Amino acid sequence: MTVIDVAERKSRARATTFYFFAAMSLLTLWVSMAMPGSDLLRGIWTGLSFAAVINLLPLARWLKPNSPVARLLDDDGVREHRRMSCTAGFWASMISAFAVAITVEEAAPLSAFDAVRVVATAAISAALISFATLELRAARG
Amino acid sequence: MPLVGDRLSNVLKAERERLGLTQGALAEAIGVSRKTINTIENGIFVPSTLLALKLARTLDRPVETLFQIEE
Repeated sequence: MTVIDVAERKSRARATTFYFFAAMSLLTLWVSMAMPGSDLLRGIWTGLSFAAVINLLPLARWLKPNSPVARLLDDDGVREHRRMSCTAGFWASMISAFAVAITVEEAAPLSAFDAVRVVATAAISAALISFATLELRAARG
Repeated sequence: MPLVGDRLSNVLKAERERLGLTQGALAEAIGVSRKTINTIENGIFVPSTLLALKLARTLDRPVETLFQIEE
């Protein structure tokens, strides 16, 4: 197995993990909003979100700058996908922030922490899903 | 990056096949992933100058032969 094959396998695994993180982040937000006051659920959401954000960074290249596989996992194409997914995350956060503002004004009040969680979850999930989709689409021959 | 409305076409696939290279072999030769080669060939990703020059050197063709601005 060549270094190209190894990088491709790891890239697919990363994309799948990102879909999982996005789904879990949305799920824990929804469950913890439905069960207010649960510190455990809030803690799980915080941990998952932190892990997801960390994974969006080019950690492999930072930690192993001389590894050929790490370089391939953050090459020109991947950096472009990361830029595009961060843009998607930004717009998702803007839309969700306006949605929260309207909801709080017109319907149910929301704590500051919950408002932050909604906006952060939208941004993280959009970025993760966008990145994973771009990566898997690029890998298709 | 090209100007808005400009499109970059390329003959990367034909030149790669002329040399009997797979996407993986070309990717390995210039130090990028196979999917980056794939997205360049399909016109999805516009490569940096550095990457375009590496491709030209590896495929033994001038950059302007590999990439053209669509009229």
